[in-house]
Amino acid sequence: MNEHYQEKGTFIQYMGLRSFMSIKTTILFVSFGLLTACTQVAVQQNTYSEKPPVNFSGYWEIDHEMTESPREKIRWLYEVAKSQIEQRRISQERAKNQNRALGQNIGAINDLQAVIGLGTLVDAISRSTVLDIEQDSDGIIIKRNGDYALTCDFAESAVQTNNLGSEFCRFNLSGQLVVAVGLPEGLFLVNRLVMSADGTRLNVATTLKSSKMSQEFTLNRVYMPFEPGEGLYECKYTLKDKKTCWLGNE
Amino acid sequence: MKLKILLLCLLVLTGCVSGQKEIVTGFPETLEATLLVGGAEPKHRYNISISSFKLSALSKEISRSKADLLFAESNYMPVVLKNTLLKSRHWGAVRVLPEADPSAELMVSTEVIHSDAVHLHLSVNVVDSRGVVWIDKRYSDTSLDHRYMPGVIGDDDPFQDLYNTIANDIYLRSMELSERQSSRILDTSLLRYAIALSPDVFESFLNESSTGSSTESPVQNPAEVTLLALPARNDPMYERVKKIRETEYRFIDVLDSQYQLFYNKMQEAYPYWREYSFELMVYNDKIESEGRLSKNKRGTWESLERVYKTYKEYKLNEDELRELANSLTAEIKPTVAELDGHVFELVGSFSAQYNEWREILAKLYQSERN
Repeated sequence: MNEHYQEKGTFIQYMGLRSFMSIKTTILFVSFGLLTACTQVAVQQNTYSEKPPVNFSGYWEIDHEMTESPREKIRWLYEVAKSQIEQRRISQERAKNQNRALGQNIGAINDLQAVIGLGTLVDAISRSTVLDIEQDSDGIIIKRNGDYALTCDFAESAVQTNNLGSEFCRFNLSGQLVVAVGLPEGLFLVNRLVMSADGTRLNVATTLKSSKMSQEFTLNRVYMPFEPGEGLYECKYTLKDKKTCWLGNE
Repeated sequence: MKLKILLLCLLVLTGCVSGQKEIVTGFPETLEATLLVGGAEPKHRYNISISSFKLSALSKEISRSKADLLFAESNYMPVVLKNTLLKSRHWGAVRVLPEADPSAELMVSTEVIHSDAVHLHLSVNVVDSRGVVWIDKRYSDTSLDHRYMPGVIGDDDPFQDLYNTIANDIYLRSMELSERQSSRILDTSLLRYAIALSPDVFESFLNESSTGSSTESPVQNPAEVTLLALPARNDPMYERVKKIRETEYRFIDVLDSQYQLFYNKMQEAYPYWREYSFELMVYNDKIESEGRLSKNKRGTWESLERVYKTYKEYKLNEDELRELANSLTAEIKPTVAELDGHVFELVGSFSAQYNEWREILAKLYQSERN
């Protein structure tokens, strides 16, 4: 299992983005963004990129080889959490404080459930195998098969607050596009898009966090470009027929 | 550390949401109104024209993706109002137009100040052909007293009370008019149309005052006019104007049917989108009022999944509405119209087609006159 994540470490080096496994940076980034919005302070130049530094436009399909397996990652994090619980239990036994130990263990079981729950939810919400991205100087729309589109208007404020919650999107100076949303129940979802230096891979890191759980879960899915051509299906939306798909050569 | 940062985020989020609520609480009224149907007959069954709703200056600052949705709503809401007016059975033809028509017997122009699943805030201006303002008022309603019923086409809108109130206000205003005033509205309407076609012949029949009546309304009212005289009943040019106007009405009916078609299509996604949006907004309010965020309780997976699922459905419907709005622009059909043995094909937006048709009618009138 650890070997698997060493491989992922290599991938991170390949992308030149050692930090993208760290959610802390993102949370700080988003916090700043939200604070900025609420206080109507202009976005600082050294935090955000004024113009999109990267163009993600095109069709992208999943690269199964480089994409993390949610099941394996859940199992690995489960093992880590279990190991931490065991260590805690041993130290508590040494302290011979049984009442306190019992309480801690209930919390620990909740943590284990949280890991599995978060992982399962992340897996369920990041299953898109094809991305169709349209980007220009004004904005970006990332259409994902089987899921809602991620959209960002670069001209408007980075944070859009409405009665549903808050949505944030912006490129940072590392060329990462961060699309985040804060929802009821303290549910916090972040999608970060990072392109490899040679433009042949696109990583979408999806992180889920709840204010009610100490755990968070990130899943990296890697996409590679493809050109829709003959034999592949194309779709068109019309008022009469709604979405109609057909083979490209028809 | 991470948790603290996250909590900071959430505090900020809560602050943002509260900030948004301040905007909304400016008009928290929940209207209750039953549509006045039938009853005392008005002096005349006026034809009512409703222009496509305009977006307020505030709405123009929103993102491109949201602008598509607002565009869809601005073409959807006039049809709700039209259907409400028709249901009241007080009026003649009720039509939705791409633009305001100063020669309409009764012109309803509306600006959307705020629209979401819970609140609707409209600025409504109703003016008759004489330029007399019947209504210049802001209407607000919440949908909290209605259940969303997606899937039931033709069911009342969650803001039906607001549309009922507008319809009732117009009706009550019409009941205040004398017989003479009512017939003046009809005569002036046709004369205004005639002046638009041939100002040199007909403008001497009307005296136009310097300014419009409205002061606060964002809608540009036509100047008030006084009827000085009427053309002879057998005036051939006046007869010709009437005929051309009937042709224009038929053309508008074709455009109107496209608005109705779009309304029907919107029923497939819009009510669902509003329902999910409504659920999330009410849920957020509930959490805030119970102070549950600050207590940092451990929630259930069911509640988290439900929140995410609702948000996802909301976004998926938003995508569909965006595509629908784009389709409306892309798929507006060319209108083929026949006039005096000539066939015209009009293309472009509703507004472009409407203006082109009016130009054709004006040219036709001039060529016959010459």
